[in-house]
Amino acid sequence: MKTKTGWEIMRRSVMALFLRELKTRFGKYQLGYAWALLEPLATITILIIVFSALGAHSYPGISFPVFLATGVIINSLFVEISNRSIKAMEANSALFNYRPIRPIDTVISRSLLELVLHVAIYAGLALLYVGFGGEFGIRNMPLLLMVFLLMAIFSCGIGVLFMLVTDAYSDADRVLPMLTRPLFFISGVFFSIQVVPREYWPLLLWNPIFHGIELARSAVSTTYSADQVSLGYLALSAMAVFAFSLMLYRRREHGMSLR
Amino acid sequence: MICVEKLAKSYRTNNGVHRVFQDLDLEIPTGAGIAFLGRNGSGKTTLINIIAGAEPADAGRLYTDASISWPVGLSGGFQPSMSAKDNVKFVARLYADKEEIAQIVDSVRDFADIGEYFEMPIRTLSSGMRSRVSFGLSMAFDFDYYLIDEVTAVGDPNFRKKCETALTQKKEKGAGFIVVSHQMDIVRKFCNMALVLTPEKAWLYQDIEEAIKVYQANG
Repeated sequence: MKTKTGWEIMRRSVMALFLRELKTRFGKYQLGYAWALLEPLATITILIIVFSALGAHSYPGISFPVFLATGVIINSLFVEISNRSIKAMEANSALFNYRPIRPIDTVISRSLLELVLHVAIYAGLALLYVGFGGEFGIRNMPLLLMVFLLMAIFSCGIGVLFMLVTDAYSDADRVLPMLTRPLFFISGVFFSIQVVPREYWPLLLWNPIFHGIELARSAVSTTYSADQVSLGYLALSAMAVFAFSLMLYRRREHGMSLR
Repeated sequence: MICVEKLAKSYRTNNGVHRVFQDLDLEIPTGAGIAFLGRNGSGKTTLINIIAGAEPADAGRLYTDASISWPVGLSGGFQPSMSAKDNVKFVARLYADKEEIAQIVDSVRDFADIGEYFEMPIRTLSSGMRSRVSFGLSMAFDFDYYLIDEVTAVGDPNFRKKCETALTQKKEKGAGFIVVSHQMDIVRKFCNMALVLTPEKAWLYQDIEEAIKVYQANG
């Protein structure tokens, strides 16, 4: 058997895990991949009904369903990656018998999978909406894709940190989801920074997810303003969190309990 | 070659720390067969798991330029809802180039010889069928070392014979073996040296017969 470089071994391991996860997640259902679309569709429909009943604010240049769906999908990208990483070690413990698989591969492959799924779900929802006569147009494709990518990198970094924390303190698997749940309410999933009084902005704008959601909205609208948020901030926090998580992982990997 | 240097491992139990081994040095030359002998709980499987990379050591180093198999016959890594074929593909993706995957799948299918069950979810297979698949999977690659932890106890006599033949072929091709077994005929066949693990210390013997004698006297 030929020896491979570390990079090549990791690439293979991540790809193999990616395909395995894809197959196990949807393979057993008869509707298969349709479920990936139906689940968020149900969530968004319920939210639209609830917020319409509450007399939700609507914003110029973007229809309410698009406004909401963009928030839900970007937020869900973060929640799915970070929360699934908590269980990544436990769920894959039997796989560590295969030498090429390292703990971080499981988090990276899941992040990749969620990124692909969320882009596909977003596109699927958009097509569905347009099919039913809704108005949707991508004004800035590079920005939209960049936001998805940066959000995945940011979430992957948080995911690696969550994995390390759970490895060190086993109770963390209960605490961490509790900590991330409130983010749904402060990440601007169902409101815009424009309706928040200026003095509260600093309370919201530290949160990179907020930036991601508002940027994505501005990418699918000609007039939706993203003046208060910045791509630079999102990029910087994604890179910083990812780099920090890798640094910590490097120090901790050797002693991680693999079973 | 596999080099183990000053390896230490202990477990925390309710009655304090249990030292499995300490300051263990070991050199397994290319193509050598080594048996780990000792009573239950002496750390044989722990040592195999550390060499497999499936368990971290507390201290010490292990280095090698060789390819090492997962414990032969391991089926715990299988995903129950995926077919045997897809599980095989998964492992093939880890260890082989893209072009070799189809050929590996075919060789496992032939070896396992379980007909259409090869396309069925793993959870629908009997444990015997599962071990046929997992053993076939281990044999589909040419590793420099094979880790064997009591594997030859599975399956019907015909299949056991088939497994032994496959392993013998690997040995003839120059593969090394790291064996944990209570069956001395297996140990004699694949090993030329042995590490006898006792609660106090691990003793390395270059003569397999001598090692077996010591082990049986103490066991």
